[in-house]
Amino acid sequence: MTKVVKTRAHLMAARLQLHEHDNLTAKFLKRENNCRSILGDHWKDKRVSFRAKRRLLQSISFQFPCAANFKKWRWQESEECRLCKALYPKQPAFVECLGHIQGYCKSLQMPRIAVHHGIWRDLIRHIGKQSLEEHEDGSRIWTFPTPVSAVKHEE
Amino acid sequence: MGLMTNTQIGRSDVGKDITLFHCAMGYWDADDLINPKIQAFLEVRPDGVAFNVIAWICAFLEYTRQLVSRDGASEKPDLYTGADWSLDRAQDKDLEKDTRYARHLEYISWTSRRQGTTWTTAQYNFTVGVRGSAIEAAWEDRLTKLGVNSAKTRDVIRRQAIRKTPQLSDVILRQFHVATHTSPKWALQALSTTSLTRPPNDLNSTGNLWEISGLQYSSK
Repeated sequence: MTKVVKTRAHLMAARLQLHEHDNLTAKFLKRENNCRSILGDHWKDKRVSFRAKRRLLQSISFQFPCAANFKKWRWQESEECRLCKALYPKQPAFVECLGHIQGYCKSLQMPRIAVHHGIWRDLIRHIGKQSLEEHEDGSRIWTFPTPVSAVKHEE
Repeated sequence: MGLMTNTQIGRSDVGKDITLFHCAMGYWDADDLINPKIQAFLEVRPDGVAFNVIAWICAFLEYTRQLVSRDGASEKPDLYTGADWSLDRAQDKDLEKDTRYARHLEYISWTSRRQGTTWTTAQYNFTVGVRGSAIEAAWEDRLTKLGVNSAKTRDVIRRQAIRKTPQLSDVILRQFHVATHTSPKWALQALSTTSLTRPPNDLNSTGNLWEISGLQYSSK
């Protein structure tokens, strides 16, 4: 059996077995009308690095290597955020879980804002271009003015 | 309101108007310490605004990277929660955003009525989970309301935005990984400030994820 056939057989077996599982990951993957097919496209995309795909897979399956999971797996005692603890030693450190890393960790605020702006910039550009509803005189009904602020953003 | 951040012109008049509105609605008392409240009111800034010049609609646009789904509630520190878990997390986040801007939208309607115009207000939220999850019906509805008539185009816009979310969210995970394995201080300086201040709908931007994050797309 070739490698390709083997992979396809594994994928098919995994899909058939999915309904038997009832854990959080299975529930997440089985939820309908939540754009799960796009995740499939992401995995198929060869431009996305293997490590990026692995990190997403770890996030979906709640296995991302962070202190909260390390503690759960009994690899270490503390579940405190290592970055918060190192950079803000006087403040109480939060639990280092995926939610904290992606949304709250103070030391990762800048990449978080950049990510938000990057996606939003693209989204509003597409909406602005494709909002084609027109008035009788041919002018566009919706206008999307550009914010002009150069003030540094804070969360 | 954030549109006014750059200029002080007309600010005192707007401040008076805001005070008048809040006192008329009974939100503030006249003897309250008003100035910091006006400042806080003006500092709230939606991601974007859109105007429908035919139907006289002023819409606030909001994009949110939602943290985790309800299923992943245990992943979230208890300290941050307090949300109504009977709702889906995306709906919950939308409600939170609606509440944040409700008074601003009310203020716009109130000012419009006072000046004899008929502007109505709306808010369109675009919410995506960091793991690439989004409610298809909600996106369809909001894009249709914003005049994107073609179903195929709506689908393309939705798919692009949703695909980009896990792709870009990976930047944060990478930075976390590098910072924990090298120096935590590196995380504070890894991005240039220009990526944080550029106008959100700068039409010249390609929106390239590595361009905005200032990172090279390596296999790390």
